[in-house]
Amino acid sequence: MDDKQIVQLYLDRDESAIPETSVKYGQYCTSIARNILGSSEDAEECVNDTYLKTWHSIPPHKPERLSAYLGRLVRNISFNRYKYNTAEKRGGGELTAVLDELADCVSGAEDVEREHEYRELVKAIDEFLSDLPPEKRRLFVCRYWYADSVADIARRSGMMEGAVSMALNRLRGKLREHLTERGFDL
Amino acid sequence: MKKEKLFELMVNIDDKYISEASEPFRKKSGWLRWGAAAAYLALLVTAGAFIIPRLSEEDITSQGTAERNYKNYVMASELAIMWKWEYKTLSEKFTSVSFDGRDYVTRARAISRERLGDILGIGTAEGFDEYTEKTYIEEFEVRSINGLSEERFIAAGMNGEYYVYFCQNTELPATFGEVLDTYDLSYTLELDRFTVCEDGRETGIYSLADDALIWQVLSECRDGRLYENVDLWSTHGNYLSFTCTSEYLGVYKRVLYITEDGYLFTNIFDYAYVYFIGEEAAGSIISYAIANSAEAEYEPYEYSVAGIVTEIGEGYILIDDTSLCVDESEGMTFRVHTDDIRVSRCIECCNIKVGDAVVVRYMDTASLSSDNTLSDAHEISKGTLVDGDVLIAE
Repeated sequence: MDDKQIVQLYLDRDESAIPETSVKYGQYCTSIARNILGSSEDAEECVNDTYLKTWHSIPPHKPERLSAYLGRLVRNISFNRYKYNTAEKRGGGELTAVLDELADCVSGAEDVEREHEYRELVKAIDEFLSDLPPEKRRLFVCRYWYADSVADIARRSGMMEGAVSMALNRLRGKLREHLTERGFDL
Repeated sequence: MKKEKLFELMVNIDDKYISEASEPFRKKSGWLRWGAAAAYLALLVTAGAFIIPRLSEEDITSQGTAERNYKNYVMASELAIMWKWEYKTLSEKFTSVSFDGRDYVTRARAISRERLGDILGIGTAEGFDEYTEKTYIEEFEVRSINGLSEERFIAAGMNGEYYVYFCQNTELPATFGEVLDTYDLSYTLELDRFTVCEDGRETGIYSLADDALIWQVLSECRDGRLYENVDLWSTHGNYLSFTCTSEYLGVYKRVLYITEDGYLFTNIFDYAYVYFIGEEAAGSIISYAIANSAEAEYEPYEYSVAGIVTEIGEGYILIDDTSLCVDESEGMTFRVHTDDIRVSRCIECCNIKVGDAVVVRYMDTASLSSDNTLSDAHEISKGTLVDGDVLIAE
């Protein structure tokens, strides 16, 4: 079933929407959740929460790209669970390493919530990504959006693990420079 | 900002990038691991000796862009003027900086703000005016450069203008691993363009898609020993010559050679560093580079536009190249910004005026926009219009 048809099931309040979503995107959502949480049990709970949230959010939303929509939801839900677990000193998958790498790009200081600045920051990150060659952009998004492990990225891309790490190191540096150039004080 | 916040915010990147990354990679192919194979072996030459050229930059200036079709050209030498103090740039004035017990010398290249790290303190910059024999002392803000140890490199300057300074009073790294650690080359240096040299001849110019594997291979050559007093003219077989430009290191179009018999030569640190990385590593790098590159156009050391000065205005000069063109209807006028002291001093001191034939030199192709406006030129020199081999009298 294609994405449009699945979305229509949600819009029609057809309960087969969730099983159909699970068939097409279950593995996709689970891998994101597992990357972040490490635990299959926690990941399964978050994926189920994702289906529920999808059911309650379509309509009014009508996503063009269902994979990206679901990916966002499961990523957010999983990350919130990660933060809860971290406070409780439990679990953690690949995300701890990913966050340590992203620390290269920020100062680590607490800052005041400024929605407008956050929107501008995301725009700047999009701009950074648009300037990258596709293969490099993929490396970056796989690691820092999907929280894929370096080993997994290396296996899928055919690169050596060391080469992936080096490429990511350089990309983080370029992101930091890109954001600094645009006046972001992170 | 906390790292968790950045991770959280990234959830909102464009859908198309999220979807793109979920698709299968196009696997890299064609590169060869240690021990090499047919593609590398095809490079091997059994015939005799050849000379490795000197590790110095060629000074080739081309006139016009690839699209210009000239019958005449302007013959002009590069200026070899010792500028008076008031005409010098900041780094030309202050060629050394003392900081934290170390002495640094200028690399004469500016570095942009986003490449800089923390403020380290205030250094003492010293300059000498050859005309008045007066010594000048100034306080410079000193900052670290991303990826580089401040024991070797700093950025120093004032009023938002920074230049790269390099500490020469240190021993050469005894191993290649120390070079990698000190200069973080995988971060500060991108290996892109290279030439293939076989039997002493350059057989092609190429552009490499991705140098990550080369740095991976080099990272495993940490024990590679420094060779001093190496005879650069002796036989080393075929080799690749990479062109090296790095704002971090303050270098422009230096070279890094990888020879098939396992040597790495480079002059990016002014000295000709030579390290032995081994035939296997060299072979892997050579075969990978050749298999993962595309043919590229020749690039001169620096670029130029030439023509006759038609107007000198406030902050600009107009140059018309009609008289150089095969077809005069294709003549163009270039608007050259002259607010940079390196250009304005040439106009003033060389008394450049309307009607003069001139050559304007610049280093970055991005400096010349599609509307023929040239910013960031670094020199303008007066010359003589030459028709083929014949000097055209003014």
